[in-house]
Amino acid sequence: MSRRARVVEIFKSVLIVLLMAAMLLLFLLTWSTDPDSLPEGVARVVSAVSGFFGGGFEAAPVVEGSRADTYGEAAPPNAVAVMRNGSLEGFFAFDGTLDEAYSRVQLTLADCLGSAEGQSNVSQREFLIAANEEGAVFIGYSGEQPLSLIALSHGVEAYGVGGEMVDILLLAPGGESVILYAAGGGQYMRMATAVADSRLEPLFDGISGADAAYSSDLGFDGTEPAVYPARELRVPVITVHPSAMSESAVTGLMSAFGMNTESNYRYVSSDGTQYAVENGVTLAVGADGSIAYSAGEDGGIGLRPDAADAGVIEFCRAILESGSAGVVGDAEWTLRGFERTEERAEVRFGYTVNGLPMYVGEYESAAEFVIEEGRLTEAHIALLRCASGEESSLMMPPASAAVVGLREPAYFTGGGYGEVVPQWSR
Amino acid sequence: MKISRLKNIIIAMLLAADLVLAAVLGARAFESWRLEEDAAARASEALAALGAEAGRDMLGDEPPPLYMVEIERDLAAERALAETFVGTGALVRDGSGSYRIEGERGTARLYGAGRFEAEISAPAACPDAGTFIELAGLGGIETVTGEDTVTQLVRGAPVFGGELALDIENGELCGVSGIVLLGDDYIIDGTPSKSLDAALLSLAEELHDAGTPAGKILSAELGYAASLAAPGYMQMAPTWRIETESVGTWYVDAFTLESSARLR
Repeated sequence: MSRRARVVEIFKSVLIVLLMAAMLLLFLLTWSTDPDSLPEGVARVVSAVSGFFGGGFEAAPVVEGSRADTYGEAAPPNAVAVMRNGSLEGFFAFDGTLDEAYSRVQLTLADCLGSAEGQSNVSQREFLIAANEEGAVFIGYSGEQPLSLIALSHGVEAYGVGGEMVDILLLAPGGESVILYAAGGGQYMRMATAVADSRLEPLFDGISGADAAYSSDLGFDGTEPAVYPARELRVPVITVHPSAMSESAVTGLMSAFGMNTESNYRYVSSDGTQYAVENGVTLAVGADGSIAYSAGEDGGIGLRPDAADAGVIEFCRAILESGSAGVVGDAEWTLRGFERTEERAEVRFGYTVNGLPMYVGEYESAAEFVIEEGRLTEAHIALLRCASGEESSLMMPPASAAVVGLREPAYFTGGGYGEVVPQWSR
Repeated sequence: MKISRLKNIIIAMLLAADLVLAAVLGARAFESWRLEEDAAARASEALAALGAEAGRDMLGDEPPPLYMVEIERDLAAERALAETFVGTGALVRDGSGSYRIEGERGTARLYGAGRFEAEISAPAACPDAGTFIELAGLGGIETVTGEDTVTQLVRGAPVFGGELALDIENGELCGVSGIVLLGDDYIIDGTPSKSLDAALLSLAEELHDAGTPAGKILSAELGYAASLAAPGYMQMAPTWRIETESVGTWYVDAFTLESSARLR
């Protein structure tokens, strides 16, 4: 073989190698438009090569589970008010101004809860004096919940605050640093915080609320402080319907109660109730949205035996939120009762719509959970779909309601369905 | 000679295969480009009907998606940052999730939700934010700097609201305040963030329904915003920050498409 022929052969060999490499690359790039079909390691190599050549292929990310114990508020806020320039401005759930106001308060509230210490009891009078301080921020919740749970839901550990049930928080300037007040069940507490007073002042810059007044200034006697619009009280009318228990709603409930959604042990009774049975646990889902869960001696989902009150409530709230997601419409769940002994706990929730309680029939609670020896043994839920429409109702002014002994606005379904107009209750 | 011919055949086959694969890739790339152009045109029309105007270049130029992440906070790192400026001192628990460091050169506070404050009584020489990053030892975390601000980046994306404001007077650092979250970050949900088209349409519709149309969209950026705090952790949700001509800056959650004029 001549020297020229040898060079040509070497060139051909190199060309074959290059063409094979090009083919491999093109093959991977072609395949990479369907990344799910690639093994994870190969996907990363292709991603890197694709990126080098300007390709748009992104390898699926490495996903780790959350390591955080997260908590939600067991009772959503329904009013925020700020004392500004000597007058009270209110932001309410029923007029749609609450979310913006509450979002502005949350970080400062978290820092106050996180740095609270030196808890002591105070009188209602002292609380009201603080509430009328310039710059004071009042936060009302739709029901009582442990103070420690509010702290946890804001991402701070609750070493410095107790588990007292509260439904009102107040951030008041203390001269240098903010004083945190909490109220619930007729008790009033005061705590020092490490948050500078100066952080209160700019919280509501650029927004203004409705003219508002504390219930004590409107003539309500013997009630916990609340904030109402000073003059006109206009609240949306709602409609209530039975929840449509679609297949996805049923599997959502099964999943929330820790049951296998692919279970074959499912049947429908003659009245349309769907049953799922698994390891001694029975879940009955009525066509009208009535849910009954019961667990035998060894069945049922469990929670940590050493769980604090906040953990027990969060356990039930998470099941309720997850199981009713997309089913209850504009309604939110609010803690209505919590009783606990060494071996048994009962947790009850009710509906809140537009920041007002909604009573189903004669009942305050629409969901009840029983936990015995660290296991969920019983649960009953009445699922309803609530929709808040465009129409609103002009209610009796708060000052007039106070005169005739009425105490709080609420929705009463009377056990039926259809349009529900808000009313004052005794 | 036989080997030489065999090589010729192999070269011809490889060349043919390469050409076919290149053609497939090219066709796919063209189809993808065409679909993106169509989508951008449709989004532009839909936005216009809702009183919003976004440039085609903005709609057709999407950054890579982001994912929900969680940051496991590192108190030791946050303490080290504080001590850089106020000097070493005892860590005093101010309450449940808040700490105070009374250092030789000032006082620093670390709050549960990631807020950091330092008042420096003996100011350190620090002419700009770049020097601050060097001094603070923040080289290990990604940041972008303004004149007197440092914004944290997570996985290459800015943390909206994750900003430290520097109080620099005559080239000396007198104070630091803001939010910085030091610690490990990891993805907790593999669902990619929604596109800018979807975020813009959602925002434009909301503003249109509220009677305050967005007008011209000046800029849009995908980053992270704090979504949920848990003791020792912070979850960050991919969020679009959209600057409008008529109604200022809005934030749109890139998962739920809920919009807000303000961060939590």
